[in-house]
Amino acid sequence: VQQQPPAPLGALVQVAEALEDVVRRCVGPRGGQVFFTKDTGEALITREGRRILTALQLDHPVARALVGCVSAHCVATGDGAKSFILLLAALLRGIRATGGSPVAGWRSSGQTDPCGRLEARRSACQLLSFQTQVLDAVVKEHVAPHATSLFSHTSPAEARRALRLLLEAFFRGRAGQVHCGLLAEMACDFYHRWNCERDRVGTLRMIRDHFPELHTSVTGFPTSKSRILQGLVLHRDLTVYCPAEGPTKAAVLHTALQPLLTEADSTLIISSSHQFHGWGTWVAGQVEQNVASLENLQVKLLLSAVKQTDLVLYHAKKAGMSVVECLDMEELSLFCRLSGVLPLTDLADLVDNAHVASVTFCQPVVLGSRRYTHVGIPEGRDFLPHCLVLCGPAEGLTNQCVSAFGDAIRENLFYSNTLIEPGAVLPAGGAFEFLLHHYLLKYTSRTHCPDTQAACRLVAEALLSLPRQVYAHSGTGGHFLKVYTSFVSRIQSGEPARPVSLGPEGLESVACKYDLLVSVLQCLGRLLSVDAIIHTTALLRLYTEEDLN
Amino acid sequence: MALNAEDEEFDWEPPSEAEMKVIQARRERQDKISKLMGDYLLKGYKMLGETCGQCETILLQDRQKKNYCVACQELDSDVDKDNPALNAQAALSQVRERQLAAQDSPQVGGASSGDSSLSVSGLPRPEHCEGAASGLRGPLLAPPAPHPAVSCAEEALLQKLRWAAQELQQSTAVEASAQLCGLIRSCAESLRSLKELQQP
Repeated sequence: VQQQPPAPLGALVQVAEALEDVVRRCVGPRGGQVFFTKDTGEALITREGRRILTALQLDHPVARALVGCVSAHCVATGDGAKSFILLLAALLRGIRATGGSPVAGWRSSGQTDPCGRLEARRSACQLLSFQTQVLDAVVKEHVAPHATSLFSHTSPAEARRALRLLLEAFFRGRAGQVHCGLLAEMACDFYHRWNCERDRVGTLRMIRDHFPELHTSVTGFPTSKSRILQGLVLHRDLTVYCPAEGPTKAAVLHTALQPLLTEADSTLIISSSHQFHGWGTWVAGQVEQNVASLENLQVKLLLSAVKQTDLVLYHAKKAGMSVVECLDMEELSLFCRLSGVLPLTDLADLVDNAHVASVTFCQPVVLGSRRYTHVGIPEGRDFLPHCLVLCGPAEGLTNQCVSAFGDAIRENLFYSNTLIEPGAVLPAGGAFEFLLHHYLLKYTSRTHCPDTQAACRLVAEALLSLPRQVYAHSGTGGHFLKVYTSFVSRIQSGEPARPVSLGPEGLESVACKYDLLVSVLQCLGRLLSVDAIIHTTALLRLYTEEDLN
Repeated sequence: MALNAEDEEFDWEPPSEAEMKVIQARRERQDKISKLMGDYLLKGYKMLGETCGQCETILLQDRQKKNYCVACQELDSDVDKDNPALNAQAALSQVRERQLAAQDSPQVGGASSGDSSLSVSGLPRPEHCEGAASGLRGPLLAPPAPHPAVSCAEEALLQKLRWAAQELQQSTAVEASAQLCGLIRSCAESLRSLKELQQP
């Protein structure tokens, strides 16, 4: 185990800039995609920042800490890896530029500078206190009033259009220019078909939590073949299929219908063949009885978590019941939740009607190369369930679509924090950055503390790096400045912030942008206050509190 | 972060033109290094936790476990002395040249005004320097005249080299040829050390 002094500021900036260069190629509507190949032949095409960063080989401890922070942020919010790195690199450059006196900083650039180390540590503490004391207030008082709310539009057509703009901007960043319109339209459609308006938070939470079960990914088809299906797709084929017309009843089984002769760890002693035959007859009788009880409850569909025996299947077919076996527990729990029933765990409950769900239809469906079961669920109290079929030509692209969709729901519709209400949106293309930059610079003239002034200037300058990067790809070099100056003149003339980009309109969520900034400042604080780097050769085992007690 | 801003206001002056050039050239160099590093990372190189001994750039390692420094091996191959980013004297000499060229044409004042226009104080006049103007790191030493002993040794070595080459052509025995080759090799190495002696 060897210990070395922490990385000087120059090394931090170098790492951040190298990662920034990697990520920069994929930023913005015209950014490209990265094509990774493995030695095994696996290929991955992605422009998702987190995927790219975790696929790089990084042994430098600072780089790994950075990527860890980025991944943690993305898991919580669903997006923002590239912006995270861009913002962090801009802040580090700003700190390096002002570290100590400008002349001293310039003379010792790139070398270990003990004074610069202390300065960096102090800047970290200052930034964190700046965030809680100043930044929160500025955002709440000045930036938030410029935002409009997604959910407060009076006419449903307006609301739908706003939602579509928000999702389109999001998908343009995640899935590229080509498919963003289609995916945004589908997401809007999905949201509205679920009738989310009645209990928005609860329904969105359910969609977010169960998104893996609510979608099916199909490779080998163009993305335009994606569609929304009513009801739920269960990812197993029907073992026994008896077509039934109209609405039927279903039961969810967690146990086998055939009673077991023995249990584990017990011995069965057979004294005579007569006894064995007796048992066999008894078991057959029990199965017939169970299936008959189900028939009495008019159950025509059995959804089983375990594999049922052939005898059960035979009787079920005789009774005209369809059977689906070996379903995932998560899918079954979602089904139970959507239809409001309890699963059958004890065969004594077979007479109870509370375990019987009604389904509107049940049929096999072929998606891609697999056959699944499609069940229709009647409209619940607060929602009407639908599910997604997402197609993509290759596995990597399909996964990209899928994760973009899941994150879209998680981030845009659901996300909120204490300062900003859910659904607050600003025009995409840099409005948030311009507004915050403008108000931070105004704040420096009102405050007298030089530390706060320096911090305001640092953050304000770094914020502009994001829109600069977005506009860097789109043609004329002066584009960014043009947009920026026209926006600033509009704010100063007192107009509310209207769509700022000259490209296609879009919206973005204010809560997410602000949380990104906060995460970056905290990550920066952590990186700058590292005291020592210890290299170990064995894998670290992380002890939790339960282990230690 | 300007913590003791009150103290610094009295000491700090805005950077001069030469200093700005150096800052800008350094920034460009850093940008180039970052771009190269990003390219290599995407090609599958691994970013190591060590830095290069010479230039403090982070090292990369390729698939064959060979370490690679982008700055030393790609950027600094031939533009060492004249690159304003690395050599303050080169930057200052660039600025000087430009100023002198600007002053020659309009013919403003004499040589004294050319000196006073430089904002870095304490610089000697151009005719006192050899080669590039002196920078902040102190005056650059001009290459010294070759010491007579060294040139004598060089001559002797070159003569011996010539003789050994001739003998090698005529020799027929294997042993003798091998010994002559050894002699030529040692002569070449001695010449190389002599050359290194001459450079400070």
